[in-house]
This record gives sequence, structure tokens and C-alpha cells, in this order.
Amino acid sequence: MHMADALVSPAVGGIFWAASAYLTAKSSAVAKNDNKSGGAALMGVLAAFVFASQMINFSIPGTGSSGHIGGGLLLAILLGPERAFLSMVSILTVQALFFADGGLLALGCNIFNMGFFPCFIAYPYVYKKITERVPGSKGIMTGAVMASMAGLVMGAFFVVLQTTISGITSLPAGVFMMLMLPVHFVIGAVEGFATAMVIIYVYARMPEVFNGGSPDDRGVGMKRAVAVFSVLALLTGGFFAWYASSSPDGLEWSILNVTGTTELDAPQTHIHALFSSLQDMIAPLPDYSIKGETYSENMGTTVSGIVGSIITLTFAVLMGMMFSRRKSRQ
Amino acid sequence: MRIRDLYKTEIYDERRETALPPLLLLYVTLTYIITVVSFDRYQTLRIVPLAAYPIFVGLFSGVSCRDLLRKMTAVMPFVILIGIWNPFFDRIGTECFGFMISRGWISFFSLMIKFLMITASTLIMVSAAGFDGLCRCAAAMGLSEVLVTQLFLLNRYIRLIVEETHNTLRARVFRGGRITLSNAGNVCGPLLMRSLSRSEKIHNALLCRGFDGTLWRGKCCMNRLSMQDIVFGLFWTAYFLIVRFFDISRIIGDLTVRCVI
Repeated sequence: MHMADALVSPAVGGIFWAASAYLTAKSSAVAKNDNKSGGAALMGVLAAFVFASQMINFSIPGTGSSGHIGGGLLLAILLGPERAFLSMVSILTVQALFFADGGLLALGCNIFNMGFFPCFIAYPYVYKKITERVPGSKGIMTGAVMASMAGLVMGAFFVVLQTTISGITSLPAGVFMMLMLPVHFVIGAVEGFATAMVIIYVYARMPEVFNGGSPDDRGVGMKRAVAVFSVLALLTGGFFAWYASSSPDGLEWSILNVTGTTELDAPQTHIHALFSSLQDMIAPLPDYSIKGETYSENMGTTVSGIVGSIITLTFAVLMGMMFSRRKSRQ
Repeated sequence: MRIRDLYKTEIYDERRETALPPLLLLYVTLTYIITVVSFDRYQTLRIVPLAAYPIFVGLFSGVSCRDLLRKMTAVMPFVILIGIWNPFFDRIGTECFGFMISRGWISFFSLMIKFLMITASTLIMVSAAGFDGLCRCAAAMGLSEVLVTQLFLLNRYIRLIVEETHNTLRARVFRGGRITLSNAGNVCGPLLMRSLSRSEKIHNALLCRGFDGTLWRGKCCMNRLSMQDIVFGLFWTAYFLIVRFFDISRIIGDLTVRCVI
């Protein structure tokens, strides 16, 4: 479910960067104030554990597919929402930087989709509520499965919204949702089941481990931040889901209504005019024709573009090799 | 993600002798990413000159092309899954090399080129700056101490825990045990308990060394910029802006064709 940089626009990436940065700052403040003994080492090792355990794929009998434990939920159960969120931030950062799983611009989106929902929504409002009412293994199993499904489906829903608003895919939002949500519903159930099995196993042997996640420890500021983002997420989801499905290409629709055309003219600045006249002067394909032969607009543009691209990239290769040799000589 | 991919992270451990400060690399890479994603989905050819940046920095820092490709292909399926629908839903035709092609295919290729270029630039940045360098740079920029410490610790212990996971799985497979959903607790549970006891040992070891919540001291000298660094940053920023606002490949192409004909 990791979003790549190529799937988000700068505006969407920037908005979710800001939201995630705010949540990270709030969580860091809570984690710093909560001076728990061994907290830093525990967070580091458990994040590494989640990273490693997500590579263990359990085969699901009779389906031919596989699943792994849900990282965000397990961390929230063991560490509490804020520390779990920070651990998820570190995991997603390492995945983006080391393994190209995600990206720098999309990091905010990924943190929001895979950190915010399981740690701040699914854990306190689904898992906690269920385990408080249903004690024992049955409660852990039901709570983990329900919370994992809720967290994953909310995350998948936001992947659809972020991609659609970014204007990357031509897939209508409704169809995209129908492709994403049922699959993540099933994956969520499998992840929840695997997570519950691990919790039940450890709970039977080391029950003292499970005292890190009390929502009562959280400051008022953090609760307010979570409430604000939950409302914003709900509003954004509701508004954009309607907007995206009723008008698949929102940007073009807006431009058409404002200007009467779906494309805007290039800005007429002095620099544009200078380069435009320079281009007209040196262009061997005025009106895309060579020696009286008329070429189509696309053909001319394509040929020039390819030639130019090849030259630019060759230049980059030569420069790179030159500097590399110079460096090794030094 | 496969376990053997994790063991390949050693190539990122040591900062390469690029002499480029992490802060500069982070700035140029972020500017690069924003420039690439700001292009419209049908502007496939206009993005291509931007490949010059990862090519140049990749060659300059000596990153293995094979390793880059291996990592990129591992995460490509999700992008393909989202982009492959474009040709089915965007069927408006346009001419390319005398052939009619749907705009959906153009946007799909554009997406894939963007993905390859951005992913390569990010991996090269980490390889050239080093993870420690980037963490120190982030700390100098004001990222919270808790998160920076967490990143340092995760980076240090990730391989340790992975190795333990690998041993557990190997032992289970050698004894003929299958890993299924029903025995998830028996496989991951002991691993989690061992990780927890290990975290206690690490915490005690950190306390013995005077750990007070911060893993580094002093200002980050790696972020000092020389004149060459400033020129590097300004050059690439100017290049990205020129490519963004002018069809540079077409201008160079026109000029070349004019000289040849």
C-alpha cells in the first residue's frame, strides 16, 4: 500500500507532509514527557522486529495467497499510540530511503495512511473498546481482526483519494475504490488474525508487556490533534469521494468552467517571449516542415524532443564520468 | 520484500566520498522530485532531460546500477497496478511517430518514467549521503530528538533482528515445519519475546555508556557548504527550472537538426 512519489502531486504530497509532521511533533512531545524506562531501546528494537516480521509471509490454507502481521496495530498495543506512530514513521522512512518502498514526497501520505489510522483510530477506538468489553483471547482476536480491517481499509481509501486528487490515474474513483477496498478488507482480516495469534502467544507468557498503550496517558493536546485530523479526514474523504466520482478530471472541469477551454495559455513574460523568439529563429522545422515537406505537429515535436533528450542525457553521462575520474585521481 | 534484499543494505552504510554534504543532497533531491511530479501526465518527452540528474550523481558517487534496478523492480508492481488502467479508461488517440496511440499509454509511460527517475534519485541520495548523515542533517534542521534517536536505533538493530528472524525461519523449515497463518503465534511470538529481552539489554548497555536520550553530540559539521557545493546546488536548481518552464529537449533537438541539415 506504499504510495510512490510518482503517484502524488506536489500539493497533495505537501498537505500530507504537513499533517504528518504535525502529528509527529505532537507524538514526540508526548513520548519525551512520558519518561518511560527503556522506551528508546524498546521502540528501536520493536520497530526492527515489525520490519523483520513483515517479511514472514504466512500461507493462507486453501487460497494460495499469504499474509503477514499488521505492524501499526501491534506496535500500538505494545507501545501506545504515540510511540507506535513514531516507530511507524521510522519504519516508513527507512523503507522509503533504503528500499524505494514509498518515496520522499509521498512519505507524508504513507505516514498518514499507515501510521495515523492504525495507531490513533483503529487501536484506541476499535481494539481497546472491544478488549475492554470482551475479555481474554476472544476479545484479543475479535479486537485485532476488527481494528486491523478498519485501519487498513481507511488507509486504502486514502490511497485512492490521494491518487485521484493528484490526477495521476484515469481510473474513475469509484472503480478504483472497488478494486482497492475489498482486497484490503480481506488483507486486513488476515493481518488481524496473524497479529492476534502473536499477541495471544506473548500475553500468555509475558502479560506485563501489555501495559504501554493506555489512552489515558495521552495529553489533551494530542487528543485534540487526533480529533481534528479525524474530522478533517472524514470531511476530506466525504467531499473528495463525491467530487472525484462525479467529475473524474476535476482540474480540467474547473478550467473549462473558468476559461471556456480545458488548456491554459503559457504565461506571456519577457523570458517566455525571449526564448520563444529564440526558438522560432533557430527552429529548422518552422510549422513542422523540412524542405517543403509538411510533418504533423506531433511528429516534429517528437523528433526534436528525442534528439534533444538524447543529447542532454549523453552530456550528463559524460559529465558524470569526467567528475568521477577526477575524483578518483584526487 | 525479500530477506536477502535487507542484507544488501551494507552498500548504504558508509558515506561515499562524494564530498557533497547531506543537506545539499537532500535539498537538490527534494527540488528534483517536486519538479518531476509537477509535470502533466501527458508530457512524457519533456521529463526525459531531468534524467540527467540521477545519471550524473549516480556516476559521480559510484552507485551500482544493478543494485538500483533490483530495488526499483521490487517495488514497481504497485505503480504498474495503478498506471496500467490509464490505457483502458483514457482512449483518446494522438499521433506519435506516425502511429495513433491512446493518451492513456502516454500517461502510463510518463508515470513509469517519473517513478524510475524519482526512485533512482532517492536511492542515490541515501547512498551518497549515508543514512547517518541524513539523520544528523534532519536533527540539525530541527527534527525531534526522539524521532532521530529512533531512526538511529532502527538502523542499527534492523539487521540484528532480521538475522534472528532468518535463523528462526531456517530452523523451522529444516525441521519440516510449514509456516501457515495458524502457527503465526508460534513463529512470531518467540521472536517478539526475544526482541523484547534484547531491548532491555540494549537499554542497560546504553545507560552504562551515559545515554540520556540523545545519540549524538555537537553541531553537524557535515552540513557546511563550500563554494563548490553552492555552485552544485545553484546549477541543478537552475537546470530543473529551465527544464520545467521550457521544452529544453525540443530546443536542443531543433538546434541540432538545423546544424545537421
